[in-house]
Amino acid sequence: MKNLRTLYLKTMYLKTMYFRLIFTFLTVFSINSFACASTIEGEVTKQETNIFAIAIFFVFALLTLAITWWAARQTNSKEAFYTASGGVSPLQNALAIAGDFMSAATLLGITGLMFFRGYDGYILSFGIIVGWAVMLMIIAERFRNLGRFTFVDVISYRLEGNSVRVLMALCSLVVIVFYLIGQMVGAGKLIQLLFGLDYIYAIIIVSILMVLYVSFGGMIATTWVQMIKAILLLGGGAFISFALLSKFDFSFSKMLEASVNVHPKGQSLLEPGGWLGKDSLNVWTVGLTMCFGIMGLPHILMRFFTVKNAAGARKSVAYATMIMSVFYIFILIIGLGAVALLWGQPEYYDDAGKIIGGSNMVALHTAKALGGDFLFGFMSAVAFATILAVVAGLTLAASAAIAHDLYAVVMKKGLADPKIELRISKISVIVVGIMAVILGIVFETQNIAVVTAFALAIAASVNFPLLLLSMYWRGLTSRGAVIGGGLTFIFTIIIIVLSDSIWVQVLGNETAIFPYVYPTVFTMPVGFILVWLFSVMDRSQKAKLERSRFDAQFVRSETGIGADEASQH
Amino acid sequence: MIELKAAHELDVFKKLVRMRARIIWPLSVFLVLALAGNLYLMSAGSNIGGRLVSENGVITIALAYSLGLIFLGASAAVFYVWWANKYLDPLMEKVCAEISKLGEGA
Repeated sequence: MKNLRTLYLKTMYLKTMYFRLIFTFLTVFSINSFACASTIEGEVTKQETNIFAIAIFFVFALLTLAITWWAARQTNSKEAFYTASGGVSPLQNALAIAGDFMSAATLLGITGLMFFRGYDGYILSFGIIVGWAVMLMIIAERFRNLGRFTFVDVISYRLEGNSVRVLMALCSLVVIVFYLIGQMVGAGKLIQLLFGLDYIYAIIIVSILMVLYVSFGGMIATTWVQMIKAILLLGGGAFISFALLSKFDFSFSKMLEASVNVHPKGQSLLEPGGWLGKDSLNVWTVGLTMCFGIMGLPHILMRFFTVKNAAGARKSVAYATMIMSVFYIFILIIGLGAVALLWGQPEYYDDAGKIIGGSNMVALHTAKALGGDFLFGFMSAVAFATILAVVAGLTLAASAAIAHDLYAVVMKKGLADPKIELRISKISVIVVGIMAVILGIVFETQNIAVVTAFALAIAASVNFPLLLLSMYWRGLTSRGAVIGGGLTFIFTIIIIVLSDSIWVQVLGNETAIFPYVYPTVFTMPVGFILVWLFSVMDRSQKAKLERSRFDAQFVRSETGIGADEASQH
Repeated sequence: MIELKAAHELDVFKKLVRMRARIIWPLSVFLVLALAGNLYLMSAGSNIGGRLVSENGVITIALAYSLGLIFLGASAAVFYVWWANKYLDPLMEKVCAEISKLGEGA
């Protein structure tokens, strides 16, 4: 006992020293960045250093690190690390789900898209709400009843062998990486605008904070960071929306009229076609991506395991849907209302006639126009909190895919030492942090809403069909899942690479081979068909065994009996 | 595992599955069709979606429809939770009790 106590005290001392170092680093950084912003020449010197923004930024960073410190003391098992030991209440989880999903891509990307392209940008919002409502009814409860740590637990519940788990873990990682790119680019731009700091240093700082949150605080810290962020974001969004509407006698119609009058598109701003050009296939593929993509996002699905049972998951998703519905209405008001406020106002444009900081900064400029430096600083800090909360969730999901799915279940066949698994989870977090920086640099110039949508495309085309079929179709076999899912995954990646966003904008080719923004309208049906085809062709004994397990799985998915044992299969 | 497989044949379990299916599938299909309606309005371009809701205003049919769709999605979520809490959970308890009896019998 005495040795254990000594060891505990030493560990606490080391943790204390570690956090002190981090606090020192942040303090030094704040002073240096302040100095940098005052002296750097070029485009960024046009930004005034916002002391209030910097202050809120560091208050948030310190607060979240304090939460992480508190959470770290409770994160002593893999259950606590991955799922907060199922001890999160439905309302808390709903806020965290909303906090996890209402990303920088939503706040910054969609408002920017609507500001320039008009109504079409809203397609990135309404499909999502429909998707959440459908997910509530057909996925949430069954998912909670069948899995324990990751969504791969659910898909591989009755399927034999490791190949399914390897494939799905790989899909998880690819989805997470794409999603992470969007968040990192948003973070880099935001801090660049706030501090006048080089983009690369900005994303390195985000990466460091993200690694700290997740590696020490696991799901508990991540949940709290996401909850706080959701409340701040809703509060900020509500304030901006009401402030915007107040300028037009609280008339939504008057606000839109003012926007139409100043925008070069005129009335076309509110008509379909401004972004997707009335191209039916383009519209349908984006809409379907938004709706079905969310049903295959590993970091979102993982949140269903943080509540006690299926009823908790059900309530979580319903509350989250309501919260997000309100938020997306704020997004509509901000995105279109910003036009009336900012369009043509010289203080928000650089010498080249482009909006300062790029299209992703429309929401923040709106905050400045409405509430001066105070609101600008507050919303900048909220946007930063948004990014940190989302990247923390993503990183946690990535580490679970690596440590739980690949290491503990595949490599160690479910017999891994929990302490070693936990250690590998934390190492994975660091690797993901480094990777996030590299990818953030490569994708710097992309619109972050578009990059994030790639994640949704893979989730909708591979993860969603497999998840749905595994829960509802007796005929699914591991061979069907691996060959069908694998081919769909490759097909989806190839099409994404051939699309404009990669083939032209990243690889520098003149025209895109695949002319549409997203591939889902092609790849999702292909996913269903291929998995079905290779499953029905499977006549092996293993396939018979897997099909025979369906009835028991179905009863468990409906009732939740034995739910905690699900992933131990 | 054995009692769960046997539970699949229980009348009360079949009733639970039927009851849930009667709500979730029609409602889900309805929501997806409502989404399809919005996508159709956008695909058809300003010919339909771009028409104004009122002559003196600027709000287009597509924009109004999208707002309605968000309201519909949130309402469906509220309805489902209310319905599941009131009707599904009590039946679920019965099913679990029946399955427990099966386990004791085995």
